[in-house]
Amino acid sequence: MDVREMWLGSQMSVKILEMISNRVKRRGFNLLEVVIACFIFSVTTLAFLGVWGMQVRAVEKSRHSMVATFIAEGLIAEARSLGYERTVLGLEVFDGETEPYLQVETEIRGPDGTWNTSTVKYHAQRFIQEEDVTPAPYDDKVRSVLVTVTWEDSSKVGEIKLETLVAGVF
Amino acid sequence: MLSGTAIRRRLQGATLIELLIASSLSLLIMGLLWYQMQAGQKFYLRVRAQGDIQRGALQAVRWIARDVIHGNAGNLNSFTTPVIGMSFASPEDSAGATTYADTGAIEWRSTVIYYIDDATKNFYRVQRDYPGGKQDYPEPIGVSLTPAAVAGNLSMKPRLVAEHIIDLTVERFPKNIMLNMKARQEALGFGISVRTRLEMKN
Repeated sequence: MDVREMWLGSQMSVKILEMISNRVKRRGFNLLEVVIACFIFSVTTLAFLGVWGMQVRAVEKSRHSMVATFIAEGLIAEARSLGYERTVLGLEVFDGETEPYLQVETEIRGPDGTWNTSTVKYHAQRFIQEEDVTPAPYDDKVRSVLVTVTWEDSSKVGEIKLETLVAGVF
Repeated sequence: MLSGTAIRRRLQGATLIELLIASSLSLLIMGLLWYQMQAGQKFYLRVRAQGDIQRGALQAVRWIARDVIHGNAGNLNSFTTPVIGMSFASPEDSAGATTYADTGAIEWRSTVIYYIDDATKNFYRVQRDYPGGKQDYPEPIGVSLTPAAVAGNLSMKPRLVAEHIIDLTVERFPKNIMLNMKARQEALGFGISVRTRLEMKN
């Protein structure tokens, strides 16, 4: 083996060693990389925690709309049971002179054992009117019943509307 | 070009300190996530139970409203012994039948009783048909409301209306009542009070 071959051989072994070292380099993470990854993961996780607050508010809103729907369904059912002839045309307000139609007071016990209360007032009204029924061969009479329930708590106001038809058969 | 020492250092991997720090951080994050998952699960269960309590209280109000609208305002009474409850005369019997006299007047057929079982906090409805089937006047207040009579009536087939009801009060007015119903579950730390005015047409 001459000097040139020895030189080429040493160059090849250096190349092989460099390839091995590159592969080894790709295999693991150093501490800085792990810390940065943990930091990003923590920030993302904490950002997701903010969703809880939104969920609490969404649950409260759904609770209010559930009560409002409950009220509206009752008033719709009453109108349907009365039927076409016994329903009264026009606007009917179900609130009392001084109080709402329904008042719901929610109590939640805090960590210190005291009960915190919040009050929501629900107002209800029903509007009944004659509806034109077409086409002409049908002479059924129909009234539309629109129930509106609004609610108010300390900071927000909400509203739902339910509508149905009551038909008279003549 | 890398020297032999540099290559050896690369091949060594992470040190024990690095591993410890990395695993501590991983544990910390996993603990945080576990805590949040537990809190989320508790939150979900609590919300579901709160919804059940609220639905029960509203359902009870609807039952009473449906009965009371045909009931007799002058006859209605609320009581606290032997249990908390209310009763009134109804033109419907327990089978739902209603009749009118030849004069067109309502015939009274039963007494409806709502009451809270003190031990279980369940809210029940009982309907007691008049012994004679029907009569042209609602049973006077007091006849069916003595503690013994109420206790006797409660032994009839009660129908469960709602759970966790702890109080029921009724304010009487000439043609309507103001109903206050309170439901609460101590273990859950949640309660709800419903207050509404109910019409009485008879």
